[in-house]
Amino acid sequence: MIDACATGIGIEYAKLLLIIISLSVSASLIILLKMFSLSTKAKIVVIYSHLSTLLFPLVLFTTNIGCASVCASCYTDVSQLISLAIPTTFIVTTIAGFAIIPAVFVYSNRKSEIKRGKVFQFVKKSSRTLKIKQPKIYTLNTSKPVAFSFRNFKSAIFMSVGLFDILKIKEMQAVILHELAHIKQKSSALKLSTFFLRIFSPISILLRFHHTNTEEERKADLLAAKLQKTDKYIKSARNRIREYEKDFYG
Amino acid sequence: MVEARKIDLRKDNIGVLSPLQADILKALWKSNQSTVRKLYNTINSKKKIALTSVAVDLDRLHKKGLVERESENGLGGPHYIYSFSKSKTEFEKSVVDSTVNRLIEKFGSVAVSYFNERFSKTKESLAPHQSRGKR
Repeated sequence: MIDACATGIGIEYAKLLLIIISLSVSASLIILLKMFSLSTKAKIVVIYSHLSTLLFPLVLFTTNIGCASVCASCYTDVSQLISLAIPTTFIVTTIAGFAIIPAVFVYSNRKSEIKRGKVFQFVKKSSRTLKIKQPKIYTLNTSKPVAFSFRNFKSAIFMSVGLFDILKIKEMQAVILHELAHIKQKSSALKLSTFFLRIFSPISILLRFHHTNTEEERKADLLAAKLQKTDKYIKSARNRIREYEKDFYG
Repeated sequence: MVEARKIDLRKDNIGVLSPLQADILKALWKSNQSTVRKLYNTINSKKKIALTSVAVDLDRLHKKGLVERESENGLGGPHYIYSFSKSKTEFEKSVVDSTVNRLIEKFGSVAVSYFNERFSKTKESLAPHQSRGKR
């Protein structure tokens, strides 16, 4: 019986049409992101919707195979197939996007956690000022000066040893405030989403989509300068990182 | 005809150091181990350089295997502690070794017969001194 159903696996017009619609919606969402200036929250929603619609044909195909292998009615009934595939796509994207991939990302980037000292105390104090939950602080074992933050169920700030090597205390504090501002403004989630987009979306590569996060960076810089009561340190930190890159790439 | 590229030592990642890399190594040989900032202060007191240039060149020396580094957590945050992986003599020996190897690799028997000739001349010039020493 299974064999009889399985031999019937094929692409029907209705299913093919669904795949085309899904990919078109996916491409339209990227164009929307490219053309319009959206809020941070809206950008994240659009990115995850784009990735979901991109994933939908694959889920549809596997659900189709699943229905065929057990000779379920969803194999012949397209509306039933859709009613199974849509929630599955939603669940897979949510779990992968908000739990599995971020967890792997945090784990693979984690070097060692800072749990004491001036940096820890500064993050604690500044988190209280910004009224956000104190994020964990991790150091990355690289001489390249890099810093980024991450916001999911648990927030975290990652800073390289190289960054500590070249920045003065006040400049380092400016970078920390900049990352805390990203967490507060939820733009670290956007940065992570655009990172996923670059990895998982061939459409974004084909359409040469490149989101620079410039506006988010500017807002984070402004908040850091406001808290330090001067933009001197965030500017000099940026200059020093730029100087390093110039020296590095010759 | 001998082409300059044939005796390019940069391919071996050794022997050719930038002036700043040489200064960094000299400072490290003196101090045994140091941080980016301490090395910067030592070199900067003699000639004006940028802190980022010291950090970049230390990373390049680390990639060449000439310096080692370890991350150390201080109260002000983590820092790399750099130390040399080759002493001055070991480094000079490796430069001579890679130079000779490259010359032999590129010029084969011509280089080998030249070295034979050159070494026998050196031996001859050293012989009277050695026999005098024995007596």
